[in-house]
Amino acid sequence: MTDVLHVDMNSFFASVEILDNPSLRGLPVVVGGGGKRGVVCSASYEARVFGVRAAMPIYKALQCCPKAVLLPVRISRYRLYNKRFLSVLDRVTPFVEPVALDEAYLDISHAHTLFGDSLAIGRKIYEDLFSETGLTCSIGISQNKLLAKLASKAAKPKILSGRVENTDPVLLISSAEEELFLDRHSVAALPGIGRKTVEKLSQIGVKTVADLKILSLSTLVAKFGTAQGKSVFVMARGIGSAEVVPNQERKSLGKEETFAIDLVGIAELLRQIDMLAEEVYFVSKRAELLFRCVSVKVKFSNFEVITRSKTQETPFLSFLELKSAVHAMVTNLDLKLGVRLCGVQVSGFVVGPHDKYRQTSLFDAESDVHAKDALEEVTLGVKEKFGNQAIGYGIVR
Amino acid sequence: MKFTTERDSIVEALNGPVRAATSKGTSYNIPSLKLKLKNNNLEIIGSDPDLVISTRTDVHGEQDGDMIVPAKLFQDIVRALDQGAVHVLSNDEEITITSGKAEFKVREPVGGELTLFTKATGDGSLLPTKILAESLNQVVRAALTDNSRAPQLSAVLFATTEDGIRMVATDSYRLAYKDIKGISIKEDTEDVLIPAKTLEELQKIILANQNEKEINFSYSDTDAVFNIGDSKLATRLIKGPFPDYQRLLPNSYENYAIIEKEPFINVINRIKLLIRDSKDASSPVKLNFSSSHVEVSVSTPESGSAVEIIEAEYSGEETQVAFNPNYLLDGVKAINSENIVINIIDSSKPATIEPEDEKDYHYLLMPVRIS
Repeated sequence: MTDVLHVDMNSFFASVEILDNPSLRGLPVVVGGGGKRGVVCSASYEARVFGVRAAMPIYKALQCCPKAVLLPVRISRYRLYNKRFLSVLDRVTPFVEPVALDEAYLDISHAHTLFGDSLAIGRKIYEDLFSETGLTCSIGISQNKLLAKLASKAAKPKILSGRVENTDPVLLISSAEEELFLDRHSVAALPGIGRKTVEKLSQIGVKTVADLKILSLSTLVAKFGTAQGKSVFVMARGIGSAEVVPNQERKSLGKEETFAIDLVGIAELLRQIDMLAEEVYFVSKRAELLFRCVSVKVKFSNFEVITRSKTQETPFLSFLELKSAVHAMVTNLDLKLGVRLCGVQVSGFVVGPHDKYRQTSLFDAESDVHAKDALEEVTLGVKEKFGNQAIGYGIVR
Repeated sequence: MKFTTERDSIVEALNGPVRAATSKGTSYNIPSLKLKLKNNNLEIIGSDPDLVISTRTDVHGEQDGDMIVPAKLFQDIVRALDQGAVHVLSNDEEITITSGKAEFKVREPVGGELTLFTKATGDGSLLPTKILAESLNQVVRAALTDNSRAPQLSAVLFATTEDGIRMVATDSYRLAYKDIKGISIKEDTEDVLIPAKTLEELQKIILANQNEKEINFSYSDTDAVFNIGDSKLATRLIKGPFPDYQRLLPNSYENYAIIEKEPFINVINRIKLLIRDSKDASSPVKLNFSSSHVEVSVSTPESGSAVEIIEAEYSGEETQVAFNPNYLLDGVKAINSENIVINIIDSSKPATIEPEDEKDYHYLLMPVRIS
């Protein structure tokens, strides 16, 4: 399982300042608070080349790099970019745990049906973030948060002999690579291990995680106390929490598709829209998200975009219900131009499991409702087991 | 063409046609109205491919003829003028509106003809305005308000019965029907399905013409026309068949409650205050029926819960049934008597809301299933 993804924006505050003022591009930019006695919050890679680091006192940064452009912290501006950052992540999965303005963990175990394997998801996030915010990031993917975070750090651009070296921004550490990857790290890389601990370990010849693993639990507990001893012991073995706790509620869920060749005609459009609606429906069903709104987006060959949406008082309770709503929205579209892209998005989520409350219909016999529900359950089961393409609704002509 | 009129009378005459005017199905780029002047009588026509509303008003005509005006702009201009005389003149693709010292020159919209499809002509049936207005108010509410499902569900059925007509509407969650005795719609052909959207317009027209005692109603196989006073509404019909609703009407009910209408409406309105957050939207109100009262309650995932007891005369077994509060309110409010009767079978079968005295109106409502 390599389903925890950590995204970390590259020198976020400094990069936002550069976006806002492109003449700063290429210059050593340092964002920090409190004048000369404050500390560095963020530094561009051009400043890092001179040895400037985050959390370094400003005066020291100016000693390292006298030409640094020192800018004050504009937190509201970074919040705005944080929103855009989260909205990109939100499209991938509802399970996003933001840890700071520029950093978040994602549980992508439910996103494979829509976006492919873990590496593909990582690349998509990187590309989308870059194209939608103009900012670069590093992404680490592994089986838990500890390893994912170490991986995203390893994927950061490096400073080698005074030059910035870009590496692949997406790094996946598979379970086979885990041990080797972790062993190479210095103990200081592990969270919760500060300078004092590093010194203590160094005194007994422990420098890397591989060295650390030689120490027994009892030795560690004797040296650092029960809590830290235990935590260091398990971290050294790559054990960590994989629980991603979303503190933001999901607002929408959608999928869109750009076509290599423009679609022509309503039949073709409906076929594509049905497939998108089906995917979105079953993803939301699996996540137990009931939704009341659906919107459809169609981009024509001249890049004109139209969106139609519908909100109903009660949640959509079957795929067929969603499908007929979506059809009603597109059937009277003027399709003189080819369709380049279409998308389906659902929102207006209602909590609670499916079927908790269902407005029954005068015309459906109760047994029909049960049969339709059972059909959807089976469909969902097959999709989960054999993949999204394994089963789908057909078309009766 | 050229005429002079009072601001107030033309403002009033514009209301209906402007509501009907869309640019759909015409070659006009903006919603437009057609004005026809003949012998001091001005006809204003607004149209949509499915609906035409026209009104007539007396003016001082100086030169007969036709003109096309941009609907909203023309209405906004005459509304904004001071009270008094308004002069309108059309001349070479330009409309001049003058009043007092104000003068507007408005470009005439460019395009072809407006849709004026009416096939139905001649003598129709006379429907009593008051009864029709009341019946529309009771029935139209149960029709589907959008076109997301079968078009028949967004129509009101006008069917001939032995001793009158019956109006029926259903959005598949509730169904309302009203029997009007003693009137008939002349041609006894197929059932007539009139779009609920048009009937909502008709309700507004009736409201503006309350003094008219009767409405003339005629129809063909594709459209229907209502004439009331100086206004006319023509609508395309929806193709049937209407869903087979008769099989849904239960033969008998085991349990019924008699509840005072106004207090019951107040209780439901209070209880449904808890359904506030979008996450609560599907929460139903629960009605617990027992011998001397009904307990109305709600419990929502986000906001909380509420309960209130209302006195009722109840005959039957203790039962709980849950409903969508808005559908329930729609039904209760449609009743024109002091007390309402709720008939129930069980928590999964349709309930019926009726007036206590005259049994000419019925509102069937499916419960919300709780699982």
